[in-house]
Amino acid sequence: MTLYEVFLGWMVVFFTLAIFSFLYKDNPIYKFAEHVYLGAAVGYGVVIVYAQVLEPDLVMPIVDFLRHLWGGPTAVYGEQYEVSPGWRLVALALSIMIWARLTKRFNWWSRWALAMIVGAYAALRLVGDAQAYLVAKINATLLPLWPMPGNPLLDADGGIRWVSVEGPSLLTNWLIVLGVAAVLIHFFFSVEHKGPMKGASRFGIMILMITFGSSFGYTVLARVSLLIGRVVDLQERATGDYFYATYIIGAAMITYFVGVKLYERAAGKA
Amino acid sequence: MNLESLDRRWVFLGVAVLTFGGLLLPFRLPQVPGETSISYYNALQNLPPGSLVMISADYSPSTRPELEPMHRLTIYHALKNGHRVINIALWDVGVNQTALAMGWALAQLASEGVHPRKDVDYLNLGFKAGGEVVMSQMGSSIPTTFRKDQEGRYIWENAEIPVVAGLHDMKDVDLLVTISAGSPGINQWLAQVQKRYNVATVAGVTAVMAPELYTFYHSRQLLGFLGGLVGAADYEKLLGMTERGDAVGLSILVPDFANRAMVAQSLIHYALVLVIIIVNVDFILRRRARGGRS
Repeated sequence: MTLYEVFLGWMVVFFTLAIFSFLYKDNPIYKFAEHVYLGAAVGYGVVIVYAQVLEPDLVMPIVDFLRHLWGGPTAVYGEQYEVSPGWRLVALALSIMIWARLTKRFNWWSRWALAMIVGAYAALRLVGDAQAYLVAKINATLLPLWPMPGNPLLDADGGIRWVSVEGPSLLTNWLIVLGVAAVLIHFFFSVEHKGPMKGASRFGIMILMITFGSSFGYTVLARVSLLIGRVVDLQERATGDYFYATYIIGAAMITYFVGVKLYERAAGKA
Repeated sequence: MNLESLDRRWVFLGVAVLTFGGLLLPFRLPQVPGETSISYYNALQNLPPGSLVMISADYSPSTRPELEPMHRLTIYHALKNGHRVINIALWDVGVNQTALAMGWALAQLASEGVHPRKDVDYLNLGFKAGGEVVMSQMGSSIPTTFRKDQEGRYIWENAEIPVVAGLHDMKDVDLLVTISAGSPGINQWLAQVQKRYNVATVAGVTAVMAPELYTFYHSRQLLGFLGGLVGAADYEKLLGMTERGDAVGLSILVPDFANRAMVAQSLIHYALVLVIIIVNVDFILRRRARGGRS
């Protein structure tokens, strides 16, 4: 274990406990950790985007193109880059136009660039979303509701698959079809929900609640998993290899909070 | 004691104690892999050797405990079965996650006497910004989208990098794997690539995202998926990692991390269910005592 690794270990423990300290209450240690985290994340993102996107896709092609114009050694622009320099200059101009938002006089320029982005994304998503979400899911809901020769509700021996956890069955197909219909009825407000519509709507609510319940359970699963990750890191660094970083930093923070509490009490009495 | 006015910090403290305690327990719970996890495993297992598997790291360190075990095991599984692995990242920090997962997988394979070769068996194309635009562009041309690899080398039509031979667009990918924590991620891959180019797709996702994937699984848009820590534990079990987890001290790097973490996970779940029941009973009793509707 090198001194640098031990130092990193202490940083891990400090920032983990500093962020967790918010669970007790908002405090300067938490604020410090929050600002360092955000600054580091943004800084890292900027460097990565420059090194892997802007430099190879914008800066270097334009530099090479200018060299090519002036008869420089990289007179192979057409072979090296498929996209013409003109389009790259358009992209550069649009990027600069977004920054114009920071000026009072030219801030309307940014709307052109944003309009371009919104338009492109709308077009891109229209086809993809329609295919992946709308058509595919409607298709997946069109299920056989009665066992007939050739459909999956009959098993190899010709028997009816009443219930199956794996694959289609009579019960699951009915549940899916009725559940989808009931949820749609629940959100159909053009007709008053009374009589059969009321019953269908209530069934729709039940389906929705079961869905939300499973989502909530999975969300708890996810959050606890993240907590486990942090706790494992803390336990790893509570050993002698890291000079008991977790115990020492944890004790220091508890001492700090107890001290602040005592000071506040004393100041309140005074 | 009035549970309605209980300071929630006691609940936080209880969860912390259970997590620390659960991770110290020296046993594992029985893990029975679920259907979606088995399908994920089979999607990789049933590919003919030499198939091209593209793995996209669409997550950040914040979801590392859930996603890194499945990410590294996917690389391990693909390389062990003799597939070619192309790594990409659509999240900037995904590059680091790929490096971590790759390092772990290579070390694990080396301990088993398997030595995949860089540029021949695997390659890292690095990060590309743009999310859905990048995906869509990859559908028409991958060389145009990723001109260089992570190390800045021109890789296309390069005899020294045969791993990308025959790779032109997403139709040439035999299996797309996304390890996904949000957007861009599995939903965008399904919309921009899977359906449009009919690419076989599987996903490893956070537990938060898992419920919505069941619909894609039942419509066969997804061949399989791993959901959260449970999914990772299933995959460890299917790959036989639970037989190797005799390392002293729990670390995220041990082969059976997810299985061992499931003890604490389950403990907290039981505790939370208990807390929900207790506070609801308390709530009903208090309402009755006040003469309200019961």
